Amino acid sequence: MSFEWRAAMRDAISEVLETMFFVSVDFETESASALVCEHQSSISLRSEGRRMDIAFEVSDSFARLITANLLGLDEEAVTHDDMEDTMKELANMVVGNYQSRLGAGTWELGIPSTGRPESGMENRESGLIFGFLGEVSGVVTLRCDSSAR
Amino acid sequence: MPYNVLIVDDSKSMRKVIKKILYLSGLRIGESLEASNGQEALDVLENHWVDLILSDIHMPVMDGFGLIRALKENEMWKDLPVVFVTTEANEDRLKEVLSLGARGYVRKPFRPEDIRPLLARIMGEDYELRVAGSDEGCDF
Repeated sequence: MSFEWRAAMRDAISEVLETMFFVSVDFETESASALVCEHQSSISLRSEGRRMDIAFEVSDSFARLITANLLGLDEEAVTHDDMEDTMKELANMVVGNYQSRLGAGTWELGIPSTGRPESGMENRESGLIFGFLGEVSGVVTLRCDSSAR
Repeated sequence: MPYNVLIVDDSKSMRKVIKKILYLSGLRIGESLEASNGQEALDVLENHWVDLILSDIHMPVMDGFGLIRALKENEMWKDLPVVFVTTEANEDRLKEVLSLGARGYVRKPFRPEDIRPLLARIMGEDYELRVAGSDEGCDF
């Protein structure tokens, strides 16, 4: 995968998490091997036969934190459904923001879903890993066809 | 007179966030109604008086384009102000919703201050004169 998608995705993640979820993450984390991802969501971008699938996986504690922050709830009050919904909205907003950084073109944003795309995604270690307060919190992986890169 | 607002978004979380922002916006909010897609929004409109619609674009069943087209084809609803709150980044598609009659749009992610002046302009409120007041009616 190219450097470009990572740089744009990093900026998109930072802007969305800081604006809507009041969380600032870092991207210095090197490995996702210790990450237990209990929450996943994914969304696609399509353009004239080209397609990208972007998957988000985060730890339970991070999903709970961003859900609580988004909804203005105590973390204890957050439900599983709240977290699933927030994961979809995270994918929607981050990839919508990423779409705006792709420049020219007519990419169309799909509808987010929970879970990971069935197959063909890059493994976590090649994804964009992010952390919060020194802990690995999540990873974003992207699959695109050759013309989409 | 307070405004009845219909919030249309397939994300329950976003509906809650938008509702919260509405109550903090300074607009006088009466009833805040919700729908998870355009078709549900039309169903709500059959039974409720609504002064303003805030809608997502990307939704299953009926998206924001379908919703605004249906509104414009209906004599009773054709003048209802619609503002899109969306992740859509494609400028052509944003121009298209405006050409279909949307009164404006706000891109996600957004801050309350991004949405407040737009709503005030559309609803004719001098938002500077009002302080949000309270979260009364908001279960946030």
